[in-house]
Amino acid sequence: MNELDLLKTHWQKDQDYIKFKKEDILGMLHKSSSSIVKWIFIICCLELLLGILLNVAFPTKHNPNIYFKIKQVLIDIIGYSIPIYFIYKFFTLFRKIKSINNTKLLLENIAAVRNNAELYISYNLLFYTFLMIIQSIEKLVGSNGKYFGDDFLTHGWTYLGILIFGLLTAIIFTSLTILLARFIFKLYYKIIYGFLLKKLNKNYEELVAIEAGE
Amino acid sequence: MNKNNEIEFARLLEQHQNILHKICKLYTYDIDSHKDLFQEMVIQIWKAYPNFKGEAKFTTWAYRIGLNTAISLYRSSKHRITTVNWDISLENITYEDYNSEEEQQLQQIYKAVKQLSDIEKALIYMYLEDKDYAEIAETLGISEVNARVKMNRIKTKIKNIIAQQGGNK
Repeated sequence: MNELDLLKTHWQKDQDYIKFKKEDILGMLHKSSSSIVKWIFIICCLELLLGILLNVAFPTKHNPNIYFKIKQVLIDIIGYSIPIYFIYKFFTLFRKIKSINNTKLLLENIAAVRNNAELYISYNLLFYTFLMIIQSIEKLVGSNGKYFGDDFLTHGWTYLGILIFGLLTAIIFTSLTILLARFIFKLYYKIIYGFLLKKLNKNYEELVAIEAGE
Repeated sequence: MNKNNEIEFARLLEQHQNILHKICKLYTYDIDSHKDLFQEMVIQIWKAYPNFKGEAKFTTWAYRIGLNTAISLYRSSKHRITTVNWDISLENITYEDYNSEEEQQLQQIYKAVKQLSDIEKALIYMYLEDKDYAEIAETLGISEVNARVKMNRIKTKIKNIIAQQGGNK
């Protein structure tokens, strides 16, 4: 008899387990879950909320200049519609997580929720970096946008020089910001999701390896 | 969900709780984490219960959720116990005493099984529960051929671990 056959014989006879009564089980139904998915849900909600708060908290100055008016409308449209899309996507993906699905699909669905949150954070980083570039250019070229009007035509080369200088400074500044933000972002993901998803990733990779015949 | 549903569910689970205890036995290392995982499985099965149509057997339906909970949803700090010496961790298990030669052999097999990965334990669990390969494959989301191949590899792995354990004595 090989090892597993011996184990199987014993396994099927073995009834020597703790016995929970119906009342114990009823009590368990109202206990709080410590599921990984629950934690992912909480963290994703906080991330979504942070994105919305950033959008609300980002200073908006009222300026009669048409450029600033158009800019503000665009920022408002992007700043609200994209987070709404991500929130919708988050709940749609979250509802797909079902513990009765096969293990591989369940792991994929959990990963999809996390990827959505990751994409959302990336979007926020890009969006606010882009806003920072625009604002730095505006600051360097001239306050309140007066150089974006007719004055620009009359002061030609000087403003063009300032504009190029501003653009270069903004690109350098932005590149450094992006690098720093990406570093913080990676670190954050490694700490938060690395801790939570280590086991899930390992199990998913194993299932993929089984399918690949490895 | 009303009180009657809760009672009906608790009654079903009380009757079939051993299928979950068996999963806990493979995935946990002491009685506290056993109870902890059991409770998490009960919560997950209860959450999914409104979608239980009764087309499948309750036990089949419940063990799938139980396995998924152990593999994907449950995270306990006690999992770190896997890094400690196996003999020490097994001392905490009060499941049974091993006396005869056969029981000692069984203890060795259990020790070997405990060293397998989460996915390998799931395959072993379904094998021990006499599930066919079609069901094993469907539960894990892999093909039947690959489930068979993996199962054969696990058998060899268990043999090797036992041989190593014998060599270390």
